[in-house]
Amino acid sequence: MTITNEIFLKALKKTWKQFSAALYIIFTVFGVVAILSNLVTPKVYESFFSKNVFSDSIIGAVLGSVSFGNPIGSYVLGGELLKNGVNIVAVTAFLLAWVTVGIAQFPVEVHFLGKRFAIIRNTVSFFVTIILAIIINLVLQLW
Amino acid sequence: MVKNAESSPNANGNATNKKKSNLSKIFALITILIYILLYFIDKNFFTLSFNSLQNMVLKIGPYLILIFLLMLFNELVISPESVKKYLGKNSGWKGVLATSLFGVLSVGPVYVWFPLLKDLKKHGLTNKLIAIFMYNRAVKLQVLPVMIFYFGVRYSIVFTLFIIIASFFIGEIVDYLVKENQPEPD
Repeated sequence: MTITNEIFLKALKKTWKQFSAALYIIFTVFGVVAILSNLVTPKVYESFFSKNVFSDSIIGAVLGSVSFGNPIGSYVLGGELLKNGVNIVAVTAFLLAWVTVGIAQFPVEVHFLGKRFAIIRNTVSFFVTIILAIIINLVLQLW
Repeated sequence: MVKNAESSPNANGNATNKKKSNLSKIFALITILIYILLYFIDKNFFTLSFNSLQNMVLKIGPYLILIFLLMLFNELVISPESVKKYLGKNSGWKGVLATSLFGVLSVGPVYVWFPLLKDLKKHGLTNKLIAIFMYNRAVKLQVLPVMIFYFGVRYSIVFTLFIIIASFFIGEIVDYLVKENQPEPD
């Protein structure tokens, strides 16, 4: 198919319309995330854990789900939590939830992919995170 | 009857889009209002938050350009037929493997990919493959050395492999549940 100027401009206009709508909502979420990231410090994270494997795994998954940012941040935080005696299953749940469950980005996901899809995907990912954290650490013990 | 079946979803779609757009506007207005309040209540915290916001925008800038170009490419070159063929209901394991690989190799925050996913969904990309793509984004090859530094090679390999395996199950479960909850047609 030959792309004429007319076709190109039409596609450009349509893409920009969709893209600018995306920018609008993404920047709004950024605004909220920027405030929250300055409110929640690493010390706050540590204070949630009780050193009980079962409850800490759920807490790890919850904290990972509501956290946001570059995964390097989760590795640094996870490494610190591990050093301070938090169980590896809880830390794994935290690392997994950080990258697979997105509460901060939830409004954006709902906007683009639909409420039903976003709720189901995040809920399923949350529970799978805890199961996967247990499986990963069982495999590590056997390996 | 057929006419109703065709027009009704469109009308519902338009109403939903309008509702979404209004909600987005309210959400944006509240956020701006919070920043204005912060400026007057705690100028230091306002500066900290505003700097974080600036950093985030600067960091994702290149990814946004990439996504814009991909969306334009999608609009110009990729036909709904080819999306249906390679990433649609009948794409089978090839579709699963392609989206998994795409998820692993994709860069930048996940939300910058949402507009493209929405576009492709309109052309036939399935919910199952979207869920698989999003779960595989948990594999971060570019920051794997950092993970190895903190948790070791053995942990990083198992962690990464199990994310990829779990993504297939996530895709199936999400697909099943999204379909299960679809309203029955009249």
